[in-house]
Amino acid sequence: MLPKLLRGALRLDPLRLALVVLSTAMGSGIAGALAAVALQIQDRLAAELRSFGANVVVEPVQPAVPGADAPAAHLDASLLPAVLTIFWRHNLVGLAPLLTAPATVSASRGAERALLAGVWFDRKVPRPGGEGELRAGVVPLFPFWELDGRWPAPGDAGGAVVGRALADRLGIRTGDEISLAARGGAARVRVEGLVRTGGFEDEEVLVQLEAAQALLGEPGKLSRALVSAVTVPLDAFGRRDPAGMTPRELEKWSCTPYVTSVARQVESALPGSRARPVWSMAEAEARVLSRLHVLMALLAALTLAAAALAVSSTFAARVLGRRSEIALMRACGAGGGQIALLLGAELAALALTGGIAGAALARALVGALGVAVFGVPLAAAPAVLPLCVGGSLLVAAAGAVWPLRRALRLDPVAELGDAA
Amino acid sequence: MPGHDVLTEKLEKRYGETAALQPLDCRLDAGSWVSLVGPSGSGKSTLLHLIGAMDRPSAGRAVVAGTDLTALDAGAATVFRRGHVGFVFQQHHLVPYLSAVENVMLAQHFHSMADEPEAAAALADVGLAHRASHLPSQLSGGERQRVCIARALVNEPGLLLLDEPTGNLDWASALSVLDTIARLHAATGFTVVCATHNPAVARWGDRILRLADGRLASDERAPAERPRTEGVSAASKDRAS
Amino acid sequence: MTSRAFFARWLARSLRGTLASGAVATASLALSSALVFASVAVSAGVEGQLGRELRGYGANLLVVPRQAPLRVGMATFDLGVVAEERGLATSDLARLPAEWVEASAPALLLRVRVDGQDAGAVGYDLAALRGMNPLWRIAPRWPEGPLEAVAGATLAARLGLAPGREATLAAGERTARVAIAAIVETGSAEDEDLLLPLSLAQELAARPGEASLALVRARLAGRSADDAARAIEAAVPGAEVRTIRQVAHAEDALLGKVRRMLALVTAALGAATAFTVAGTLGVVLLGRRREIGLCLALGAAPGSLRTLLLAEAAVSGLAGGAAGCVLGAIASEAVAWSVFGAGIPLAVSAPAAALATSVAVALGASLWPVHRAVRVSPCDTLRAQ
Repeated sequence: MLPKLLRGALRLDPLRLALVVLSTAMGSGIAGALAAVALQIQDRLAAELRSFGANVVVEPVQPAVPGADAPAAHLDASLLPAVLTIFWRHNLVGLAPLLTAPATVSASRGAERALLAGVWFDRKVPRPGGEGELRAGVVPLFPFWELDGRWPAPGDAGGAVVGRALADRLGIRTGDEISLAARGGAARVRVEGLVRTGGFEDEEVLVQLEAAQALLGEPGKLSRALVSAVTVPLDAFGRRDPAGMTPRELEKWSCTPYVTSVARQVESALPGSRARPVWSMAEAEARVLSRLHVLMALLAALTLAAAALAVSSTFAARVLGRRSEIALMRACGAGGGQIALLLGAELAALALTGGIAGAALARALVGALGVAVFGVPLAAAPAVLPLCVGGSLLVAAAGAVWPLRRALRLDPVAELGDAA
Repeated sequence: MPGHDVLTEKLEKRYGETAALQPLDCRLDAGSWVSLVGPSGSGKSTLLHLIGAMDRPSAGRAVVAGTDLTALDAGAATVFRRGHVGFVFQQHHLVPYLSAVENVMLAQHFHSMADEPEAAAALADVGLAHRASHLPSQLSGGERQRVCIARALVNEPGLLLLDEPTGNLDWASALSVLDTIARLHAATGFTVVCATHNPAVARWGDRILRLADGRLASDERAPAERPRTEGVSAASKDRAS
Repeated sequence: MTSRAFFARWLARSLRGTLASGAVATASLALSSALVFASVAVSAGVEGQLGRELRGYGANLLVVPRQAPLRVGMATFDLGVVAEERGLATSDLARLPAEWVEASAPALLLRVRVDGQDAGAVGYDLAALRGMNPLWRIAPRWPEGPLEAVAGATLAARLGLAPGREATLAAGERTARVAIAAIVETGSAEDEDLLLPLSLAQELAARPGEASLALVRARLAGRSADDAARAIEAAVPGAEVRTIRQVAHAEDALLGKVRRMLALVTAALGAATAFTVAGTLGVVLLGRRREIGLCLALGAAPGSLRTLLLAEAAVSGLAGGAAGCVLGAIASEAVAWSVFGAGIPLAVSAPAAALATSVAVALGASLWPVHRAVRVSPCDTLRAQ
């Protein structure tokens, strides 16, 4: 009898039932999506904040002495791939070696002493163990540099990019040839593009690292390397000096991708180097991330609460709308338990359907939110389905219990008389 | 206002395969009181709805006071209903949140303009002057039905349609409702069509049309005397609630 | 009594009569408008607040003399004597447009010999520098006196400088003796420099009242860095303002993403609650079918019933919206305090959006059910028990 009654009830008003299912689906879907996004937003934003630039700087232990003729301490460029073997190698998203020294830049309108920077523009460095490649170099590391022209191709030793301010003073345009003279020799390079960064690079000439090494007579050398790693925000523990930690604390510290512990690992991967976090970057990141994390968590909580109230009110309204029917069933001799069972089964079916639809909606929404905000789809955790379904059932029950109890307590005669 | 006469020509109503009313030809005189009797489903309510411009026939036509109802569109039917027809239903259909006088004013509002003194006078006509500001839930069944009568008559319609007006009432209340209707009928002369399956109530009319399975089964004149006691026949015992 | 007066009376009675069942709908309207209020208010406030946090990334604009080589960070390298050293007047830099500028720090670059060794030095208004870079690690303390300096970590390691030590600075024939107040480790160019009070640097370089450049932190929330640059260029004669793209644009991108996310969340919440409200209103209307049928039977024009029901929806929309504004204001203040530790200024857009959403949702959600309800045949509803 129960299934028959249930089928009948469900068939009676399919449109209204669809609305109940739909509003349950919307509520649980949006709450589920937001919860899923809130859980991974921190990682996503941490990666996003990497567009501010490198957060670890690697320098030789004995810094270069400016103007001195004695050979300055340098890093060995050939050891650089070792950076990709550290424990947190999957967190590395950028790597840019630099060799910087003064050079004389001669162009049609004159000559000037300026900084020559040997860099990687945009290179694919294979990660060890066949785990894909890292896009390394200044181009991926500084996505907001504005280039007029094109970046020299990886094998092109004769290409250069000139900073905008320097180019303006010397009348350099894209396509010109300029002469570079430094302590290791001289060369003519072709200007492939002009770069505007707003920073020091506006005054520099950027060439391929190997070309700069040849010009400066320092083959295989680096003056510094910039590393960009996705890290967790620094907290009080992350800021502590590892020198004063107990072995257990040290292990915990090393196993957390703080910028400090990543820097420490980079440092030990490169002999003769000193790796330092870019503190302002790390601290600003920590603050921004923790703010946004709390914000998202609160929004998710608000949404969950709102969705819960909305869904439970939908179910409350559904029970309220059927009071006379309940009274009729009572009048026909149905026990409270039987009615509760019938309505409960119906509401459970609705909530279940709504929850499943909500989970599907949540998956789609998480993906869409990712595309709309970050340009890449975010993945919904598999837990979304049980969360949405369980949540819907729970919340629907919470909404239905009170009106159901009230409806069952009503005097059927009065209710029927009033309704009739 | 003199009552409206009602004419039906092959008036028919079908719901899919089911015929609620078979083609019916009859004429109801202006100012008469016609009782429609017959078991449930015999087509009484359907006929009331059709001559009250509440529903459209499947075929044939109904003419009330010279107006062919089948020629009216939905809007014109609404306007006709407002001006010419008063309804009283078995379940005292009152708006629960409006007081008695406001329920009467509602009909005035739909008709033209709400007029509280006039609505109060209509309530006084049905003997409810002292209950004007009560909500329906504070009135007895008979009182509610009399509010419905006041509401149906406040716009002075030519045709009063009653659908089981006493079906929910004990006999004493039913008598007071019938007395009220009879008094106003005698005073104003509107036409009354009253559907009932209580023979005692039917005999308050001057003509009794008996319907069975959507067909006119008999058409007789009622005795002149109006019964003031119930239980004149066995048929009244098995009336449904 | 006029039609309008009776209509008002009817509406008032009807609202009171359906208070209980309408309360559920009004409550869910209040909830949805509270959420809209909170997310609009928080979105409006979040950019300013987040912009404050982004200050940690340092300057986003650089003010330099027009057509002059920029030598920041290059003091370390000997680029030879620049024939014509141009500068900006610090008095001009003190008058940057406050509308755009959150903090600024004028700087003078010079080469000095520290205890006989070459080094790059930058003279800063150290208080301004501190305001610009609140997150720098400086130990043990920021310098206070006119003869105190901060050494960059790399420079300190090379020259053996330590807090509390004194050093002799020489530039040409001019000399000064400074105390090293602190070592700073920033991870960027400053690590190679000796940071001096601006007045001392001007004295050593014999360039009183001059600065080589100014670091500027502009308030960008929602505005273009280029506009800020133009505004500052107009205020400082002979200056060129460069946008530090890496900071300004990354900031802009981040704020844009946060803004988009909040907008999407708001829209999604609006959609979800709209469905719920529609469902609730539908149920409420279902309960009034008989009453609607009765009015139709009494000769009510469907239009006047529609007006009544929509007016009711609008009223409960307004009531829900007003309640939502109160709830939303509390929620957004709570969010602001717990996220940023500061209240957010109340944007006019928030209550407007909340009320508009509430009324629009109530009306929009009722439109179709009302349309359906007043089109039913009165005899069907009267017959249906």
